[in-house]
Amino acid sequence: MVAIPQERSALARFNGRDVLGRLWSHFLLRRIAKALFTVFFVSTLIFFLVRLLPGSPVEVLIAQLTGEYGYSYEMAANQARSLFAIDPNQPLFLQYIDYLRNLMRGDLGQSLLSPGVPVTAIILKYLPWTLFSVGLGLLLAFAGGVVLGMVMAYRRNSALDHLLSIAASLFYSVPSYLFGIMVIVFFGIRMGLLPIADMRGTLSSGQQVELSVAFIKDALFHAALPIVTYALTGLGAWMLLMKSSTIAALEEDFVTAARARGLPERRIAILYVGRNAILPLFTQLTISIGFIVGGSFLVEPIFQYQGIGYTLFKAIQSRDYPLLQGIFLMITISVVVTNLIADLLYSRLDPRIRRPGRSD
Amino acid sequence: MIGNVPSDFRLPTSDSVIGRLADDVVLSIEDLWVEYQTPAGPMQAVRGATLEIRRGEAVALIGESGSGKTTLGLALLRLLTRTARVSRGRARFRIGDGRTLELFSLGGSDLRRFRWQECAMVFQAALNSLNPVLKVRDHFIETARAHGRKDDRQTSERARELLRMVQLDGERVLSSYPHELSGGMRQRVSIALSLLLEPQLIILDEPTTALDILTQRAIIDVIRSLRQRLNFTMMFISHDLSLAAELADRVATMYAGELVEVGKVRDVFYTPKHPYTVGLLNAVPPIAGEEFTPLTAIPGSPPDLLAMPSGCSFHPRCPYATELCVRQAPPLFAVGNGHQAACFHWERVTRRLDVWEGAVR
Repeated sequence: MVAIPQERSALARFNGRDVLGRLWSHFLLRRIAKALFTVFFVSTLIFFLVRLLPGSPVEVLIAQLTGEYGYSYEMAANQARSLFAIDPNQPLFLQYIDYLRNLMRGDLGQSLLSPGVPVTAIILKYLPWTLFSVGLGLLLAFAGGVVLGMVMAYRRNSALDHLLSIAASLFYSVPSYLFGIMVIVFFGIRMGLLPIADMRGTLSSGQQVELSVAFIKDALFHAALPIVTYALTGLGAWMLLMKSSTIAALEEDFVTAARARGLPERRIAILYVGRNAILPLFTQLTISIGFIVGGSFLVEPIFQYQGIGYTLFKAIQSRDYPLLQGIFLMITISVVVTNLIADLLYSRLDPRIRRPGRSD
Repeated sequence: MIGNVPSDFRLPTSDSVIGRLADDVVLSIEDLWVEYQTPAGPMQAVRGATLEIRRGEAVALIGESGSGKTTLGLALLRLLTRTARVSRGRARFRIGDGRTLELFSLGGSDLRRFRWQECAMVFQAALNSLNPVLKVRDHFIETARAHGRKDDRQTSERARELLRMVQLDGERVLSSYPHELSGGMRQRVSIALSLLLEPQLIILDEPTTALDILTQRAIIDVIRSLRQRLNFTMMFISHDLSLAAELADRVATMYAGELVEVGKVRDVFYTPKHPYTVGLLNAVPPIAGEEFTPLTAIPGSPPDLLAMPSGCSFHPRCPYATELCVRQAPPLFAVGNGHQAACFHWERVTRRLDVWEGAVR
């Protein structure tokens, strides 16, 4: 206690460092700085990766333009420059500076497949649909998994627990794309229960994007199959995770202590068991958010759902490098941002993260 | 247990009137057996414990780890794990308004009311008995609300007062999370929390274990001053004999699930009549102002509860053991005024060390 004032006064002499240190110790600022650094790092990685690929896409395009279309090298290089938003003749370092400068302005170049359309516009057009469908699917899976996992833990070794365990393992082990194909084959074609042809796409033709009940209904109708696929294939893992986490929480001393204090069992289940059991799942949630686009890449083409996964699928098929580069960057940013949100959410849920305690 | 207990506590039925609790008895445990289901079969963790606790007194339950002390405490609050059950015996409790409860047939809301309102527990300091995601204030408020005290402001006021009694800065501690407090502070919070509803009996389970020696001292002082002020009844469970000597009026020694010696703290510590109590006393530095004597460990180790020795459970480790001890389990003999010991040879038992050194050799 006595040493602290002295320490403070010593720090006061290095005022600048003190301010920086205090900023750094601020949880939110620290997280945002880390997130920005991650995005910067990955965009650099993407830049050099694309250029290090054997047969650089820029060179490939120039060769293609000169060879197949009879462009002169100058013309081809100009064309490539405008498409990639970079100048292939400049030294790599200057190209990199250019790339970063364009990036800051949100300029990711233009799509090769549909010349003249900026990559940013394509991403902005398709990304919201994926975020909507995958996000809702993930939310449903998480909520369902948490509730069912707790039921399993409370009724462990009962018939219900065994039944749910089997179901969870089953859902967990079926890959999402296979599940999607099975839905189409069985419910769509064999039994004819689902109008799968009408459910393709993100909206029915003629439906405008607007804030109306009709729009929401139509959007949900088209997204229903991908959402159900994400929800059911994700559900099993959350159930099993929540079950083991709840069983561990039930063994905690503070749960016994809460019973000793005569708290109602429902209160204990929510505030003492559930609240603590859900904490480790949030780490898992941040990881699984990273697979949002990865999952949609496999599922969206099956249902012909035109989201970012579908676009990525198309871009790979047609070697649309600027678009690929843009989507990869976008994936990074969305993962980093959702991670940031999840981190902040976690810190709201767990006071030990928000307010570090004493170490004894 | 009985499925349908009316919401009002019932008075003892005519047949239990014969064994009516004396007016000053708060808790009466009779022939209590607790068994755990283990893969190797049922294991008796508490074997026929019988004990009475009177109003205002402090009883220490001492013994080695694994002797069933904590199990006994948890059984009284009906907090045993799913694998454990009370297989025999009864425990009666005189609640605040003078009525008597049969603890092992309490159910539902009666049990909830009994917990904390009549009997509170302070858990081991090493355990995390506070919810890490709740502030200390919420622990007090949740507890009060569960027992129908809805006025949060009044609860906070009471909590601050109790925290002051355990020498904590009430306001600051109330708005802290458990991880922001030191082990000693958390234990004080637990003690303050146990007093919130003014229970008849407080069970303290190893209240100072896992705390450093100065913090232990502080906790003991806090408990002692609280007892002087509030005069509650307490049963505390400890392996620390000096703690028992300081806080207890009576001591009960537990060995392998059995209460082997019960008596006033002076009688048990100065003239122990069970060889196991003697062994415990010889294994720690002198408690009272005696001259320093060399310490002696009890030879051997506690028995395997799944394969108990025949006769007296202590005979394999006992220097006084005879043929009789191997064949027959000793009952509790009255060895003095309010002093009982489960030993056939209690008249020969002394604290003289040569007996034990002989046994070690």
